[in-house]
Amino acid sequence: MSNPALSFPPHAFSGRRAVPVPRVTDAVARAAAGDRAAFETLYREHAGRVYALCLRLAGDTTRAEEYTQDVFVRAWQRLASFRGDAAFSSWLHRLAVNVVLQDRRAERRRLRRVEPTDDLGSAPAPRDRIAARLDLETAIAALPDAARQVFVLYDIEGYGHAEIGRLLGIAEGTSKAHLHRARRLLREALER
Amino acid sequence: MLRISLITVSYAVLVGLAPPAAGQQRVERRLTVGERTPIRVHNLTGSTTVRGWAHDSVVLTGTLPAGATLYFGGSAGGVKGGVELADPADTMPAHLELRVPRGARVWIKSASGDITVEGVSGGLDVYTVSGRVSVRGAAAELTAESMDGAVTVEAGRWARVKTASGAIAVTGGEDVGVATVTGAVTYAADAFRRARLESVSGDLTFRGAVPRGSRLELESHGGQVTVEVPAALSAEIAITTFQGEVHNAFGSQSLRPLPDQRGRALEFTAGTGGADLIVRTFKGDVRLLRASAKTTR
Amino acid sequence: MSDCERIGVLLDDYLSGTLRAGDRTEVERHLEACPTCAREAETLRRLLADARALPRSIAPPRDLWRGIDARLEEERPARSGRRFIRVRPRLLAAAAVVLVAVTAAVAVQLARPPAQAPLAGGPAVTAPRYAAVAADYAAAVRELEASFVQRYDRLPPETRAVVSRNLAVIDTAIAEARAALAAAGPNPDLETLLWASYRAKLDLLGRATKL
Repeated sequence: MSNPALSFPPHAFSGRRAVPVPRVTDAVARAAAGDRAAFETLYREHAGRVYALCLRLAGDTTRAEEYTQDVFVRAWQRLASFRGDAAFSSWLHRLAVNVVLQDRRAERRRLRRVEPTDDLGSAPAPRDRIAARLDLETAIAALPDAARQVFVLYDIEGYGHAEIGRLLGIAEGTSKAHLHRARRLLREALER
Repeated sequence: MLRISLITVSYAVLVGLAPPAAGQQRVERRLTVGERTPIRVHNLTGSTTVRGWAHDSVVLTGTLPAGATLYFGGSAGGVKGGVELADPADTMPAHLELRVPRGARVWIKSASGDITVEGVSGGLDVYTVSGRVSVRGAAAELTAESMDGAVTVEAGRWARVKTASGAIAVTGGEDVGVATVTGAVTYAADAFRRARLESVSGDLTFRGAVPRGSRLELESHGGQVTVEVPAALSAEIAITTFQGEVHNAFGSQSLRPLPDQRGRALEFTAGTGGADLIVRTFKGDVRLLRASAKTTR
Repeated sequence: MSDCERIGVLLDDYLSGTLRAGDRTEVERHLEACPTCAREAETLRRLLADARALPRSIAPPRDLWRGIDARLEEERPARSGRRFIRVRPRLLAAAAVVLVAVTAAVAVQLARPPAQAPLAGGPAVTAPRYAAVAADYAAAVRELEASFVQRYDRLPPETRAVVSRNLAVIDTAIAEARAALAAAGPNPDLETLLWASYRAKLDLLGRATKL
């Protein structure tokens, strides 16, 4: 299902800013040819957008910095596969979503593998996270992983449930359930 | 206004800051917040000291190395502060001192810096890599982690402490969990409800009383486990070890081999029971000692 | 399901604008009549508006380019479809740290006198639950080790030394417990100790990769 609440396309990297297209296109071409300076220009242009996305998907500033770096390293490796039929910004946005979600999935698998034990060490802290009420961003960061990812992709980035389901490897209905939970938790966190 | 100036005066009296060395900058910031405001502090190098006080304001003072910048801001909803080094590789220390409302929830992250907290009763999360951690005045909920710095804490209701090789000393608390790889652990308490100490090779020591209804577990692969308790100990005791030896000052029972090479065990009831004392080691020795009158609390 | 509960379920799609016309009318009628649900809808609407108004771009708290640039040293754009990877000495050092684990485990296994070899059909290492849990832990450790190797050269030398030293201690403990289990047969106490060592390793690797 598409997400008509946000009518711009999900990849609208440049949707809210005027990107000087010829210069960027030129930089992309030069970077793809191995020009590091041109790639730095692309980094300067897009770092904020990529970082914001990573930050919200990961819910953690340190991880967000690492993911942002990973995204640009991956972009450098794959520039040759960027054919220019979509905006570079959209391509980079999609790459960023994949980098973060792939890593989060791997982390979830790792955690699932380890059988739950009754030890004190793995017992969750009996409290809401410190600073959960700071603001909307903090409340989003404090959401459970899946709920946060669906909320960020649907309500902030404008993806539809079908697409989110594909990205996260879950059913469309599960995506809706996560969204419902995320919105409810955010409401509760912000009302406190 | 009057309160602010009072705070300024009392603070100036409390903290006699030395003049900054050449190239250093002195900083001072203040904010009025709520009693339970969450506060996050980032200071990678140097030291961070946080003291709870009876005012609903946060006062930050300190010295920063040349080129570093301080960020500090927020509201009753939350405060964030920290030091941004000019160069991430820079290891010149920054020293921060904060006064925070006693009931605040404080989160501190450092890399090589020491962290000292006093009199914060709300909640505490402190993380450092090689710095030392010292917490006095039991926070209701406490998480403290260091890789190889020593961690010394007075636990409140709930506490979790972790290191890799840093020594750990915990006192008090109701629900306490301590884990280390090679660090030495001592836990002293007489009113806990549940406590678990674990290590891979670090020695584990418990000193104090085992209250009725409580559960105390000590588990180590290769560390020596020492439990020093009053002669009036009343608990179900279960000690298992594979290659370690057991010294038991609470009776003549000794280790008996378990069937099928399952190791050796020593199980008995001291007094009338009513609490659980469980020790498990692979090759660490176990000593169950009577506290001398002097060390009994 | 009460009316309010049913509306609560529909509210998400209603606010997203994806509700069928019939349901939409039902929700609207209910919201006019029920102040509680109307308030809830209003809070949600505000939340969604706030979420959409969040800045699309946030400057990273520090300049990340230097770190990226350093990593590009080792990478070329994959133009020919074949990537040239230069192995960094530090990466090798990290790999060596991890290798110690394997080597230590093998060494302890080999050092056992043959007399203590598992009895024929000895169930310890073949017991399905033990085997499954051990495999899970081993797999989890492998994944974290891979991340750790990746990040190894970004850690300060002192931290590397601390982590390596502690990993070596844990690996020896794991190897000893495994060897004892292989010799002794199924044993819940030994397994508890082994899992504790694995957990210590996962925890240490996890923390090291997040530094």
